[in-house]
Amino acid sequence: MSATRTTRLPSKAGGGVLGWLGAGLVIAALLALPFAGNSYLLTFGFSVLIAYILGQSWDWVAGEMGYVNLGHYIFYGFGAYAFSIALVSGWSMPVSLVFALAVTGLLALLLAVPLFRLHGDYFAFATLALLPLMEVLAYNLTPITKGADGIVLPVAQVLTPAYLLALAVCVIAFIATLQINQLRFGYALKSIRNDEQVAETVGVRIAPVKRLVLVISALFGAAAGALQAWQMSYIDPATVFGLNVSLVPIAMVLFAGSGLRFGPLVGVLLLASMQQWLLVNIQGYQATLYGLTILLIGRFMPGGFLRAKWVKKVPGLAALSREHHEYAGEAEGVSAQPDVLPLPRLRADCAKPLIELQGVRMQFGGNVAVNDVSLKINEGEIVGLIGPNGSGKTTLFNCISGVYTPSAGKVLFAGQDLAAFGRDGIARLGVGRTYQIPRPFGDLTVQENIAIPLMFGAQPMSPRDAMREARAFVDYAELSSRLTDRADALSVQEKKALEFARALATRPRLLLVDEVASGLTPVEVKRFVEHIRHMRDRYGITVIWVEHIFSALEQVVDRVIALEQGTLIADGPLAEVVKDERVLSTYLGASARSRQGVLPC
Amino acid sequence: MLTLSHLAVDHGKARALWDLSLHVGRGEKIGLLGANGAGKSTAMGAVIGLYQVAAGTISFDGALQVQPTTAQTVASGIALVPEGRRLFPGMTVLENLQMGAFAATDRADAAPLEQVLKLFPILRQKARQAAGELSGGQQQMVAIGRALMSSPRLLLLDEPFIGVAPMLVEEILAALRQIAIGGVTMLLVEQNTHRALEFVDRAYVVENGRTVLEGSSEELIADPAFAAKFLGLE
Amino acid sequence: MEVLLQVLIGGVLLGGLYALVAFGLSLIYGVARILNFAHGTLLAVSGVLASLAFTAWQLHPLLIATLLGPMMFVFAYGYYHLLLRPLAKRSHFESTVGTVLVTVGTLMILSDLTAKAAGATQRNIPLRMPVIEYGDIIISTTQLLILAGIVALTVIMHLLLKHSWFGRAVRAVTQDAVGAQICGVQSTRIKAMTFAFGSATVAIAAVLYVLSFPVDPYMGFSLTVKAFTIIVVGGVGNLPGALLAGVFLGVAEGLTGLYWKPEWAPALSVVAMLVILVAYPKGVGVKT
Repeated sequence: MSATRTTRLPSKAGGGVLGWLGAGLVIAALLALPFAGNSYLLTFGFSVLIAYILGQSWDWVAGEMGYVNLGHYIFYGFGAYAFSIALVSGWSMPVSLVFALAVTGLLALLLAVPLFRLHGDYFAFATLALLPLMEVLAYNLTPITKGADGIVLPVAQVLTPAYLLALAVCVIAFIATLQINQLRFGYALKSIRNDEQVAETVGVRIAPVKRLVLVISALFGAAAGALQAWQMSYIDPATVFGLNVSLVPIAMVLFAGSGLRFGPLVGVLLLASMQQWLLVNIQGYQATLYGLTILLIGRFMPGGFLRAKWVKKVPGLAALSREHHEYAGEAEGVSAQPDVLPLPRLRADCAKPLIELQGVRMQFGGNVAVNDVSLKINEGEIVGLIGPNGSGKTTLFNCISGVYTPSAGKVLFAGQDLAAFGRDGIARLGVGRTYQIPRPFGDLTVQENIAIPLMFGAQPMSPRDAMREARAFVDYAELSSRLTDRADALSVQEKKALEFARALATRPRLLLVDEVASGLTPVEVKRFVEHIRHMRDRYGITVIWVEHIFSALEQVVDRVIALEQGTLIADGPLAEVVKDERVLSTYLGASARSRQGVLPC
Repeated sequence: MLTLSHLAVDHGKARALWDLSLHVGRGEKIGLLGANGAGKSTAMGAVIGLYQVAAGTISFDGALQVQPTTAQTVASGIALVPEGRRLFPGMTVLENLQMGAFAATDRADAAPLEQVLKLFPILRQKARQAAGELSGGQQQMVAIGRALMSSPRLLLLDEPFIGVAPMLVEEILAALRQIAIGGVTMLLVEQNTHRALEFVDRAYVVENGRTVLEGSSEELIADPAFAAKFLGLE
Repeated sequence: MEVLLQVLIGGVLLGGLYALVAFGLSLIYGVARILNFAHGTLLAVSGVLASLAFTAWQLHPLLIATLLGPMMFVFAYGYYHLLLRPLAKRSHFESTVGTVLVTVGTLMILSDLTAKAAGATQRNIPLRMPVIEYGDIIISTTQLLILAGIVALTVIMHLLLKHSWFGRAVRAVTQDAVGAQICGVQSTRIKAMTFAFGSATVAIAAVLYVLSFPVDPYMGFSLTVKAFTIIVVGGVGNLPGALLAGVFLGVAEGLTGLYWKPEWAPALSVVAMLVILVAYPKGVGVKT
């Protein structure tokens, strides 16, 4: 159990040497294109590059973070206009470009505030609605935008430099994509995609991350717009904000597979070629055929054709279609000694209160879920929290971890009022929790699930270090055989173990455990109880444990708090609470009060 | 009346139920006990047709059920009072009850409604009020009433006492006893073991998606394994 | 003053029509959780067809409506079964993305084909009807007809929702899909019927629309945006809410045109929606 284990897993993006060689060849070929003398091909190549920049930058927000921004094109259009206006005003090309990027970035920052209050369908539609809004602005702010006439740019033939610049931006975009899958930032995005609320409670600062990714996405969109305007030396509202064009790059990404490393690239290449072929060969019904293609993709391969089952059988395509979790990183790391975890060994001062609730009340409309609860738990205590279903136990946990803001009352942690902290701040202060129904980051591996709290905790770690350290927790949770499996493929019991390990990885001072032991055999319960005791004895972690299985609580808790319909009805040693009149009537009902001392599960 | 044989059900990618076997005889009150996440709700859902059966069989009235739709199971005489009630908060109490008769179009309309209102008199008062405005216990009455509107022969109840004030629990239990006397067979999922055992004739214990114990109420209480697991401190 | 009243009347009518279109989408979204991007395009296409039927065959608008409604119902029903229902079986991400792609593709196809078949220019049904003069206010009978149509449709819709089994099933599914299912509501059938019904409503509203306002094959999407604004403001599945929001929007557009510049009117709905969504991220009057 104490040997050092190293497991070699499939190597990273690009398939090693062959991948880089291939990439080099492609870039060389692309660089050579301007000198091939075929301006038609060059124009086509340019449009592909622009489409790629747009598609890839869109996918950072959509595929990585899970927010489908259907209005991504406004950054393109805004950047195009900003660039054109600056150029026409006499500024040089580079300055105009920088200007375009700056103002579009600013726009994104401003929009981020209202937009990220929305989720799901509403976010998609609100962003989509920005397109016609921008179009109207472009048409009507005539003094600035010249309205329907559009702006003619004072440039000569700039196809080649535009192409080369676009190529440079593409390369940067691609590298950025690779980096996103390696950096902490990328993991923040992926955690948001899976479960925002849980991401916060393990320490991820989601608001700045959302703003940053939107701004970065906008910068690249603006670059594409500016370069396009430069190359065409003309823009007008229809060409930059029209619906037909604006959803095209998005459709290209979705066609191949959003969220896949090579999805945008493959999608853009294929669909741009198709679009070009249609333009040249079919007179008249381009929009129909384009629409038909999009429709068929949506109907038959909405995950993108790279995710279709048959793709795995085609050698070349299979490499391109790998999901994030299939690019498992190094799995080096020392497996844990049976009871050794890379957690700080806190010294618990039994006299000092760690968590204190003062008259906490949580109300949803007319429903009072937590009713003026006051309690105090000292460092190093293990406290059981009991009560029938619906009595407010999970709501109480939510109030402590910041998922809910109490309607009244105070929650003090080590003397600090938690009202001043957001959920991620509370997590970094040292409050860790599990959820009654496990909420893992489903499309990330077990190892990544545990690495994420390590990355974003009070002492942040790099992804590499975090992955390494995560091994110890994974082994402790006895999930070593599932290290690189997707979390959503685990069984319920395995998910519970993962949930517990992930909570530990937040390096908590206070651990909130929500019904983890149900479904375990008595032997397993005993082992779990040992884990809890170990957490307190060795690492000084204070524990509040919601549990129905009394025989489990009995083995380890110092005292028990009982809730009933949101009200605290008992607080004391287990033996006493269990004989308390009110507690008995809660569990047994008036008719069976005579059965003193015997409580059900 | 209802026989589940080695039933296995999937919930999305993960298996929620592995091997559940139970038998409910006509007129019996059967309990399905076990901790959260053990698979009890999944079993109920499978019987009523909400979930696909992955393995094993369900037989109702001797007839093998082959992936019936919920509409079909309701029409054949099974009704579910689901966990969390699942009422229509914007619709009136009366409309909620009427929805219960949605699938049973070939049955007499007025009779079940009258019976429900006799069982739960307060609903007569609240008939035109939006269901979302009622208290937890009253909502539970509506949920049970709604299930009764299809004149079921088998009534499935999934944790009907969550969020219900203790006084109303007694009232609802009394109503359920009435319903049972009226000839309706019942399968009750309940977390509060004592309450369940007082009500039912027999019970099955489910753990990790498998049946692990069964017996009459007396047998189970006397069983040391059961006591150790569920009766805590004894 | 008279001009103002004129504009108000026009705005109310337009708003009422917006509301009907929006309500169709509201039902579809509430029951099937589908945001049909091509919803507004259905009005554009129906409007063009209605206009063609009138000018080519001199069919009476009422007859046109009676034909178009059921035709659209059948078309939408088949469309749902063929293209949208299979997506519901997939994962949440795939079904959402798939629906977007399918409906956007449809939007493009319908616009293009309509433009090819009937030209891209605006058209309407130019009914020559007598006018009623009330002081200095001129109300055309056409407008009264439209008003009557809106009222009739609204009443029918309300009755249907309140008293028919279909209406109750729609409301039930919107408020709690699982609860509806255990009552025996057949999920697929209700979704298909609601989709068809919501689309048919648009088709009939289109006939009314085209009596007074022009349509062109490419106006669909901005109309869909307006419909969504109305849903967000009025609440999903809420008919009175949709009417209020729709009329409000129509009047606001008219007033914008009168007091400011008509070109800004289309932006209004978008800004309104964004502002409201910021204040109420899940829409105003959120029920289940």
